[in-house]
Amino acid sequence: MHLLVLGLNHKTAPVELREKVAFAGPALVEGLDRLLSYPYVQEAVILSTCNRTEIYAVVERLEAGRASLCEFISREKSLPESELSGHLYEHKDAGAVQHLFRVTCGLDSMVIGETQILGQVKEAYLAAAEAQAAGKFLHNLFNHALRVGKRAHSETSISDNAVSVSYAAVELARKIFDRLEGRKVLVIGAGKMGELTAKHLVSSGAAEIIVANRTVEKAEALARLFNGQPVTLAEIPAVLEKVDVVISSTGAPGFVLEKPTVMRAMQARRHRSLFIIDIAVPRDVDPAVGQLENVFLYDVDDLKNVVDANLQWRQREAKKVEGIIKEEAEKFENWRQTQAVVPLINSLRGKMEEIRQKELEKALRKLSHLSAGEREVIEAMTLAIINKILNEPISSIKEHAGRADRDLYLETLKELFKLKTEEGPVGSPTAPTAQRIP
Amino acid sequence: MSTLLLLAGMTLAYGTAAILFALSLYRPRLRPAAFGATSLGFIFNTLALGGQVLALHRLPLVNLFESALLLAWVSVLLYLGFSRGQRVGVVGTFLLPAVAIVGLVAFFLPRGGPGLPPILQSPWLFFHASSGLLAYGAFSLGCILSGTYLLQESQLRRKRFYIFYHRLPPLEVLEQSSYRLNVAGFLALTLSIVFGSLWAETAWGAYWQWDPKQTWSLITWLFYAGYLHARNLSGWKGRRAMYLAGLGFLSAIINITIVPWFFRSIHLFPY
Repeated sequence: MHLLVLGLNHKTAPVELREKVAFAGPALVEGLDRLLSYPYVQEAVILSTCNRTEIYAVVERLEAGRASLCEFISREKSLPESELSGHLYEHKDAGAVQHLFRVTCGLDSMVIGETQILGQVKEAYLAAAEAQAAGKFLHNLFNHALRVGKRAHSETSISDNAVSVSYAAVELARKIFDRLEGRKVLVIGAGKMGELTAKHLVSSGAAEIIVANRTVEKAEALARLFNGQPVTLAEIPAVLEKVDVVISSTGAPGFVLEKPTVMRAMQARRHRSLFIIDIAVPRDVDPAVGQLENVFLYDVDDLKNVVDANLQWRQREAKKVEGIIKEEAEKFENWRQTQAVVPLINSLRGKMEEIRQKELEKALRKLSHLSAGEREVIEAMTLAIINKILNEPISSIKEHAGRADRDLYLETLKELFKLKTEEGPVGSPTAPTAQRIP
Repeated sequence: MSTLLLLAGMTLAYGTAAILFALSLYRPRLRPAAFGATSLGFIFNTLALGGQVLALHRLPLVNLFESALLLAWVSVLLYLGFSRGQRVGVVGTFLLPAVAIVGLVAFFLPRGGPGLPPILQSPWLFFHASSGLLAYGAFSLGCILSGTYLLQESQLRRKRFYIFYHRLPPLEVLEQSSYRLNVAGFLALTLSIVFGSLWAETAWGAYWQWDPKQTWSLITWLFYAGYLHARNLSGWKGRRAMYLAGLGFLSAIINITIVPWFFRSIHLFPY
């Protein structure tokens, strides 16, 4: 029995195809139900986001399981398999575990290190658990993956720095001012980028938004959106005295803010820091403004440079995350291997217990004069003998669970004690080891 | 001898802490270890001062060696007491190398010297010396915070960001904490000058004699007064105010290093 993942993502499939293959809401629950009715499919989780759709399944046989999953997607989404095949990728067993860990940590995402995926993996797992599609194996796998994701984010700074221009602006604001709570923001121009940046500032706590625009109606409309105050362009010099952040994104051909205006404003505000974000092209703010003391002027290129630097930083951190993933994947692999020997251990214990009970009964029948306390002593003794005898073999079975000579050991054990085991969960001893690691 | 061993322990611990702080820029989980090494260094620092007292049977206020140890002691005490758990805790990265260097320099400084002559035995000594020490410690830490501010400000201004940028707190936090420390230092220095004058009056019969030490303390005081004035009243926020505070600190350091060496002073002791 094996773990198999089959899916497509932003690297292998165009958005048109990703849209068609996505599972959302009720389609997901019903899909899981139908998926489990396929032969060879024992457990399943469907992870479906706008950038990927992946099916994680515990299957009895790799080839047959793969065929089932392909057929499932093709039928569910009414797409011929030929249209899918070029875009699908698959991973099995240890490879699949590693893949899920990488996905959860955001290493496989379009924007490396993004954290949204962590929540999406969690939702996918919960939905499968609810639909009773995830059993013990996937339960363990996904919980482990979520732990790995959290570890990656807390132990490395892969997700620390902004990777979009508007968030980069917010982060810079946070490096200049202690808190954004209660800060006032002047938005010049009613462009989309300005609006987006203002939105981020507001959600980080900025209190008051003042909108200045050439056409007053547009200023009013945008101001209403933020519960702010519209002003005319002529009022800007006065407003500059009381705001902390200025976002400028007009379509004006010349400068909207010139050095003398800002200089006067800085004197009036007693040189309190002023952060000016100029996201207009051509620029709205005279670059000379940036030379003023306590004025921090950033234009679009500056912000893009910040974003690029942050992305490079994430790439570097990604290496640390890969290390964590490797370590955790090994831990999981150990657990998986141990799981494979559990049935054998149970059967060994069962056999011993059976013998113990039989012999104990015989002995106690002959010793009918014993008091209840004395009987208990004998019972405890027999139990202790079994436990002591089994202790070492069991720990060495567990130890050998991950080794190449495992099957030989297990077969010998089975043969020696004439044990019968049912087919175990994933990676049971009878499955050839060579196939397991791709 | 034992003082030198304790000094070695102190320097080693502060040096280790400095390295750990530097590494913790890349591995933030090392930060507690850096604090641990700092605390260990502080214990050695305290013991070294105590050892000096036991060996010479007088207060450790006499020579440059003792000044160096006390300055390190007060700065680290203030750091451990007020900054450690705060966001400005990261300035340990700059403080610890500085105190480690002070420790190294201390190996080469004279350690002997007689105690106070009977004429100066007075309770004023305690008030004058302790407020003076507090002032110098607060100025040291304040100066390190100002330097950190300037570093962060120049990164934001030049738009080139290094590892420090990500680890250092916002400009405003750095500005405010350095301001607070400089205010505390200024008040302590004022008190120290006042106590010193009162003491001078009881011992020598005059409050103020334009002694080099007194004069230089006044210069230091004026620099810091200028800084506070510029920052609060003329709106000289940020970089320029920091430079002024930096000049104040420079003058404070001159006051305990160069002034007692180059000028004959009735003050006798470095502080």
